[in-house]
Amino acid sequence: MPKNDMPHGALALLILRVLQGGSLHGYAIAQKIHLLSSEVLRVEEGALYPALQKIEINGWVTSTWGVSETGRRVRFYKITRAGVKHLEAELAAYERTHEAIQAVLRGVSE
Amino acid sequence: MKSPMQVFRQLRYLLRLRRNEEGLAEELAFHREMAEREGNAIPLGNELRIREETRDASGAAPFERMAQDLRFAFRMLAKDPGFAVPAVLMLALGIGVNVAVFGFFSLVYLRPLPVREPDSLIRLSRQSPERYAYTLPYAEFAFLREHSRTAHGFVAMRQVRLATDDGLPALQAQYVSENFFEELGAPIARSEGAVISYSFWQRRFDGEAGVAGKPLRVNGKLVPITAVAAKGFPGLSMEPPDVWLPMDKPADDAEVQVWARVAQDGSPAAVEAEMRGLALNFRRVRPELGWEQEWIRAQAGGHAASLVRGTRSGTGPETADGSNAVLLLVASLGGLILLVACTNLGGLLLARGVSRERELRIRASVGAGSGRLAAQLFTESLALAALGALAGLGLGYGVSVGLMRYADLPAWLDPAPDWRVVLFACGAGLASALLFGLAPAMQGSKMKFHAGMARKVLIGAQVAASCVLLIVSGLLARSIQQATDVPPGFDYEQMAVVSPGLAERGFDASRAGEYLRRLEERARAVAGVESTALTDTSPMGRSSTVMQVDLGSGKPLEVLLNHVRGDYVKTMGLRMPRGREPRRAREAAISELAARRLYGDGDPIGKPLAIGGGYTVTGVTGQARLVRVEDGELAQAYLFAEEADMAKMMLIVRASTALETVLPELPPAARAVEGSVIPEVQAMRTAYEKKLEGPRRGAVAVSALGLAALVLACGGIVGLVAFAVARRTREIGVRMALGARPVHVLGNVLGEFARPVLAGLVAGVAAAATLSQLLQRQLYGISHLDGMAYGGAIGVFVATAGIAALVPAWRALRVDPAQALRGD
Repeated sequence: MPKNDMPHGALALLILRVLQGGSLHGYAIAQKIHLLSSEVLRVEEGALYPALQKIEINGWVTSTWGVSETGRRVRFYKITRAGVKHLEAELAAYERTHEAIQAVLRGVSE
Repeated sequence: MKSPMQVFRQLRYLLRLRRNEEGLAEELAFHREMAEREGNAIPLGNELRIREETRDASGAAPFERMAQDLRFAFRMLAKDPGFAVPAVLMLALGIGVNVAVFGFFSLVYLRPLPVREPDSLIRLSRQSPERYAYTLPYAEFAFLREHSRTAHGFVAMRQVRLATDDGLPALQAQYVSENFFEELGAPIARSEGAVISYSFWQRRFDGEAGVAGKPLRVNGKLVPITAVAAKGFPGLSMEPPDVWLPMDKPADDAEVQVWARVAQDGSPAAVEAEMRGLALNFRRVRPELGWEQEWIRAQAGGHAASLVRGTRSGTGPETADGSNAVLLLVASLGGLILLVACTNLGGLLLARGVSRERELRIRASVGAGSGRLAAQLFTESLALAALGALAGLGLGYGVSVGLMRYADLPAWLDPAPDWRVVLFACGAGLASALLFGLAPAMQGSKMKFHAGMARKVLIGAQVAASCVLLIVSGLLARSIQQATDVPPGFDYEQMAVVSPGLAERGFDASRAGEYLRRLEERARAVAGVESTALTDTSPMGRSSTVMQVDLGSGKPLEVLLNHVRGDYVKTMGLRMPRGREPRRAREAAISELAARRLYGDGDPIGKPLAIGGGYTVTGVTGQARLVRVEDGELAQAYLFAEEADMAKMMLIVRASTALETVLPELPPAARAVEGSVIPEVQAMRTAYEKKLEGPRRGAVAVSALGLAALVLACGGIVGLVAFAVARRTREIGVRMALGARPVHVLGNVLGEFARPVLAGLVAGVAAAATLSQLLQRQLYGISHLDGMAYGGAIGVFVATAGIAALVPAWRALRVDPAQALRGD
């Protein structure tokens, strides 16, 4: 069973991106990625929680225990300033790579 | 690279591992519940696996493994107390000695004084090519305070003895500038009255609460007590005085000790640069007080080392402190002890490694990599070192407390280990773990490693280190014995010194001369007084003036300068092989060493003297050790004292009857001259004994270190030989069964050790010869290569080590051959 089809590090980027809209719990993060990707990307919990752990150790998110909409105790993740900075840097790098790849692809097809 | 914050978060994650995992389980349960509720696919992931992956994702695995190793290491140690207890004790001894030495060093040189902002304090002293002094004339202090831009917060202090009520001992007093308490952060308002120290308050007033406002008699005047200083407040002297008094503008040439503060963005170097110009200007304004080519030195003033310098002064450049050499020596010896302890432990661990071979092999065969096994073995060494460092810290503290009592150090110096000492203990522990832990780790991991060779190196190192320690303690013991046995060259038994401290009391030269003439008259009238004289250098006293004379070839001659008057030679009981003592202005006598170095074989009498300017030699005295008991290389010159020298003079008295009957008569005689001057009266014998105390303590301390090393080394040798013999039990059994003579077998077994022991001895002697050069000035009457000390030390070592080695070897010989052959 493949963990996910995403390139390495991309999941962290997606998580940070959806957290930019406000703090969320794990399930909501997965759902939001699923919805925003027009239901293409499905984040398995086996990938989600280790990734969250790693991001937290890196200091990009902080977590606090809160109460969910269903009244259960659950952890909410919130992006930190370092996280925002990391996200911006990574997005810029991603844009550059993406454009470069596009340029090459266009060049070959002409 | 991990940032420190990341590591911190990883450790925090580990520390809360259980809570974190419970949290994760809760989160996963919630996730599934939500998926179910919203009709999404229910994830089928394995919860255990997610938990593992999450833990791995934290990146904390190496720490976790380390913690695991450490837990295991402590378990292994607890299982084998017969090994762990002696090992930890040995390490504790090695580390403890070094902690004590470092603690003392740190206390004096590193720990900030318990005053406000000690880091910005500097101590000012004067220097010139001709001389140096740690006191400044008051006028210069005032001048610098007024004109300096790089330094502020100038504090002046002058120490004096002052008379108080009749029958009570004189007061140790300090006149201090008005900002003294404020600058040092003592919560005492500026006041006109007297501030008494905590210990004086306890001593004189039994700690009575309502002491403020009470009058204290100081030099005949009543001064109200305004405050008591806090218990731990040292002021700016090692020994806090009884009382601090406001310094109302003293004479311009009154010598004061000066401290100041550097500006926040400044540095002592900047202060020195500025004060070069200021000192020049001062000399222009006050040519009689400034020195030629004077400059002001600004040294860090915020620790005890700067207080120790007191009012030191001398001619020529300031010579390096002799105590530095001693400290360096003691530190090296401490390092050697630790080395011996580590080699011992290394030996023990090697032996243990052999007996654990089976365990290690099993662990390797179930998949432990060799790196992992080495890490595990090294972690065990680390655990051992951690325990040793902890115990060493305790032991070192105990030794420090004892040492403080023994050496009579002031109570405000707190020997409790601070972060520096704790850090040092950790460092020492880590260093020893590297030393003793590497060999077994390599052995365990089956890297290429020759256990037999390692054992030989261990033995050699041990022999060398113990040899050095024994030789150095032998040298010190011999020197102290010589210093005590050889008379100091003057007769100290029937003598007393009466020091009135006239300069500190503000007497000018003519008033001092008048006082001394009358004091001498009164003293001569005391029954039992045979003769008296005046001198500016108290024999066995604290301060002296030493001049270096460059003779062009060889070592410069060091001459102790004394200004004297009266029957000096007779009163001191000096020998006078030639000529007579100086009787009028510009006459001088010199000691034999000075005569030999300055005039060779020629007769110095009547010749001009190269020291002091314009003196003629009238006589040659025997060599005497007037100030430093252990220094035989110091020559003396006795110059006839000028009227201008009078304020610095003191009276020496020789008694023809028992000194005990004369001593109590001297203070009343002095009081009859002038009631306000309470001189210090001391029997020469007491001062002499006190002077011997220092070297004696040094010898005792180093001997204790030597003994500790010897015991450690013997323990180590017994262990190593026993181990070597045990490995060869079967071979020995066979040989004995075949009829070999015990002596031969013994020779064969011990022969293995002959070469490393010999090499160790040679290395030890060489190291001792090098190291003891540091001691040269502290050794009296013997060379630092003294044959007796070296021979004795080697003899003691070989004898004890030989016996130590024979015990296990002999036991092996008495093994029943049949049993040895059955073996295992």
